[in-house]
Amino acid sequence: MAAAKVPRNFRLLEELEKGEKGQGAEACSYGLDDPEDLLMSNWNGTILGPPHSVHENRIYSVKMHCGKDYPDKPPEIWFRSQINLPGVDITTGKVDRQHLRCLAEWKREHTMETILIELRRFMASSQNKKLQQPAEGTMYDQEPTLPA
Amino acid sequence: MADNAEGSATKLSFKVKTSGDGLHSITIGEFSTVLDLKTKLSGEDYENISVDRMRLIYSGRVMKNEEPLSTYKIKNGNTIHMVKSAASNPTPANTSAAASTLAQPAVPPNMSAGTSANNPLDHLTGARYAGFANLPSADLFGPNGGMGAPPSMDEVADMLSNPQSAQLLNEAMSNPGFLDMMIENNPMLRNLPNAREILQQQLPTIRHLMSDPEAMRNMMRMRSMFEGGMPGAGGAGGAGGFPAPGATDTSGSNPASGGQQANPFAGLMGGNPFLNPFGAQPPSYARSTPGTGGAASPGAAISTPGANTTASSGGATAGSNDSNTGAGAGATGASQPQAGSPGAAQANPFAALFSAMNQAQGGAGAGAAGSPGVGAGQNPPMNPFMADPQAMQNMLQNLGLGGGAAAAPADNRPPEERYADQLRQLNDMGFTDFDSNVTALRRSGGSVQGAIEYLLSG
Repeated sequence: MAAAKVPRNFRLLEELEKGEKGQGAEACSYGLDDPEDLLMSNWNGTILGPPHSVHENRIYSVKMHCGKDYPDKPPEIWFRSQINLPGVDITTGKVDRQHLRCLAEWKREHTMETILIELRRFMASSQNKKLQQPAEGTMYDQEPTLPA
Repeated sequence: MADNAEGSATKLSFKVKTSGDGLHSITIGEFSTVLDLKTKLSGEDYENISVDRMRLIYSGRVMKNEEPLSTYKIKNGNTIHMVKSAASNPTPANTSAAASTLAQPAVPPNMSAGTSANNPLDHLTGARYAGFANLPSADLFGPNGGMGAPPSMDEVADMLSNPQSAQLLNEAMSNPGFLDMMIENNPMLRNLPNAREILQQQLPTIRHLMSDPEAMRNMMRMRSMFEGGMPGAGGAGGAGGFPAPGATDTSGSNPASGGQQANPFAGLMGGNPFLNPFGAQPPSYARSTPGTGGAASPGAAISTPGANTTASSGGATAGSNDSNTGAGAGATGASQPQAGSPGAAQANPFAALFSAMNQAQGGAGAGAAGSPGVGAGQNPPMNPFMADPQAMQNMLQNLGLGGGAAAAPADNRPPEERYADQLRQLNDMGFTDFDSNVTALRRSGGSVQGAIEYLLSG
């Protein structure tokens, strides 16, 4: 399929609509941090903690930054809610690309929803679902340093 | 439905999607706080859970109670997700079925918990209704603690005319859980996707039918006629209180009843989803009245034997039903007592019901009561009501519309909701034009396959 490449902004608009209208998966939600931002770079996401894990009934906030190269390059992801998860920096909450298959092997077709869903699945995986977690609602102190 | 916004504030209309399958459309002023919205959502009309168990998420942000909705720049038509957190302390399981996927109470609410997963009347054995109704005196039960013959229909009607019973009945009917139970208990209603909405819309009518003694009398009169046309079935009911077969009450001198080998109404009574709700309701109503065993329930006694006996014989009879004349005659017979009865207006829906059934069943077009053009296009060979939700919807609508008005569209949910799954699939396949997708799905009756064929050919 030699389909034409969807330009960045079209793609992000599409994702924005999907997120706002709630058409995506129920357990994840995402939207623009600043609805006025024409470049649509900074996004918020939430992940509803997967059931049957320590995360059950918790809501995790993440920040996502879609650079100029999105969707050719994956966005950068930070957890805002503190979480004890391999690949998540203890002080900043930044998600290490190598720990998440969909980031490490990023494809153009992947969306932010793909990432959120995979993160959620990662949280529910057998090796992670029982990890001791910080108290609910605690946030990382440090705001992620985003490129302008 | 008061919202707390100032009059000048712009109204926001959006959807709230719950972690079950619930979807609510909300309109609220943009300066209302998130807490206001939660309070609104916590009402009985919506989620019926406490505010502090609710968490709302919009566009990837958890909404904070004290902030006005305008902070989140919600656009009209967008969707907020609601997540229900676990109850910190068990709350009464009075949540509607939509909410019942989550949050089961940790402690059984009363001693009858666990008898039926979906029985909202469990609470009646709890303290909630204590002192609400006087316990009936022993003579209400009759000899042998009420295990004898059921009371006559007049007794039932008299009981219904007692304002206290009516009040209890109303109470039960306005409980959403009760509706759920009705739907759950009835396979035909269960298969109907929007049975709940229909029932809720028609609630006043149904409530009226159930609580108005006159309407009840009319129904019984019709019932006894049907039973008369069904030799043996009444006897199988073993109900001494029932008129013996053939010896129906005098008003129902049904010319069609004598010696008909194929009484279409036998099938109708058996497969009649309309009567079934009543079959299901009175028992629970009865339970709520005396607060004791169902054996004492006059309502149950009236309706259950009928449901049982006719249901068992109904299938066979309906199968052999080939006489249009019988259908027509039955319909005219049915309309007779109504004309003479004072509550003729209440009885009309039934007349329409039955004539609609006749039409659908034999194409007879009995038309005794001016059927509202329902079933004109349907000519299925045999009792279609067992399987055809469309016909059933028509009937339910007739019930509410009094037989005169045109049938409203059956499924009035917006297409994006009704076809959510299909639309998603189509989107995934690359058909992204919403309007044509919906058109295609409408044409194909919701089949993705059919819609694709239409889209590709169109």
